[in-house]
Amino acid sequence: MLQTRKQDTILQKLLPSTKLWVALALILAVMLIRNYALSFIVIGISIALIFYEKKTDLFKLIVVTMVVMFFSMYGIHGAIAPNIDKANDPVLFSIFGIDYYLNGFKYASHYYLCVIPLMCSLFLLFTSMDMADLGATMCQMGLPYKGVFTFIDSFQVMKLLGKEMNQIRDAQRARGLETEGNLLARFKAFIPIMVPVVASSIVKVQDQAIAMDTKGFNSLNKKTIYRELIPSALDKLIKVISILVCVGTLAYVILSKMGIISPFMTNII
Amino acid sequence: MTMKSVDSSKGRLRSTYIAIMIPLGVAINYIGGQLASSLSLPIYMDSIGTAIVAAIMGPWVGAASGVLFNIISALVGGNIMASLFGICNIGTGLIVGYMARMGKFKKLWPDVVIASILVAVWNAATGAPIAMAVYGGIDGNAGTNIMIAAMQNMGRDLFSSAFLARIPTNLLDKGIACVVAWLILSKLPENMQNLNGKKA
Repeated sequence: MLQTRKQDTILQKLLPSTKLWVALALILAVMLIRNYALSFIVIGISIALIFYEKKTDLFKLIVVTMVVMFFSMYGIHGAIAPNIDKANDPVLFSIFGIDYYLNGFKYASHYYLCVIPLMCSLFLLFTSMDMADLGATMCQMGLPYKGVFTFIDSFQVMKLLGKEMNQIRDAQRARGLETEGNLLARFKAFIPIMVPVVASSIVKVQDQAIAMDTKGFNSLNKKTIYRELIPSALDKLIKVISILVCVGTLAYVILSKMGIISPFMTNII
Repeated sequence: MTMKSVDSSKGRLRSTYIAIMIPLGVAINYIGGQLASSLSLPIYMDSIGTAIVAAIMGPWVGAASGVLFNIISALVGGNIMASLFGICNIGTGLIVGYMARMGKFKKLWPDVVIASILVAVWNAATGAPIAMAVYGGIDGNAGTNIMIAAMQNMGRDLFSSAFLARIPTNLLDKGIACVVAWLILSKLPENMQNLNGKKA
């Protein structure tokens, strides 16, 4: 599993089904309304909770991705600006003789400020989720046991294979493999690390299949779950609010598209 | 007394293999992407698992592994929109899986080369419109982005740049994935090479 079973904080105490509703509400609200103020609020609350939940170590990886995306999207769309008429478009600023265009900035913001709030908030929701609880929730929702097993097992195998890869990488480095330097050297390092990891995991498949079969994986009896997930009052409240946000967002988008209400949540830029 | 071997290519034992191989494919994709990222390689390397699972277990299991990887990595990374790239991985699984099932994934030349080209073109053709819809044409891959920027400077529009820039990246990326899948498949014991669901 990606997480250990700890229930110290409010977020960790929430049931997976509640978090799934929150995730759905956030996805709909951020993607359909596309309001920058809303995006910044979601980013701000998510980052504050990430610090509160002490998930900053894992979040650093997400921050690196966000920074790369920021420079790629704003740099290319704003400076090269393929989608705008450069002759008539206002220049926001110039740096080292390169003009940066306002509409390129808007175009990049339209996409970037949709992706980033979801990256922050969904990262928080899913890393604070107990995967075994999520599996139990999915079974309770009526999803087939084998499908749920496959989904949840993927998280387990990812973690195990990740550890194995680190061990093999260290072992290969100790044998003199260069993992730094020019592009060719780094390319050459990929196969000697990757192939042993893949080969050793494939070799174990037959043993795993036999072990699972002897433990009754294919038994036709109904599977039971040794987990009781009782929703708290907070779970119920958050679920109701999330459902209201989902319905409200869909209603706002449909009614504003039909011209029945004015789109009052427009962006300032 | 002779031991009776169990046919694992059909029936319930096949479903056990599927339940093991799909997560394995997801994990191989994930660590491939992580390793490429940690080595600062300008390619994705996140479809090796899909190609391996498709070559061993057949097209639809490979496709399932590919799409599940994109969903899980989107959840772990928080980038839910990136799960749309699962469409690319479905194509990878189907192409490699059907070629393996038809016996056209046995030789490096021309089988694996043809598979790599088909997979690369599919990924570029589906990846470009998805990148347009999700990121406005530019994503987090430095190698692709540099090529997109260069093509735009030469006067190409964003969509054709996003498509053309993905062709060389994907040829290298998916080429490595197909070669690794072929290497693994050729080294497997015979009873594991017949798990692709091919009807006798």
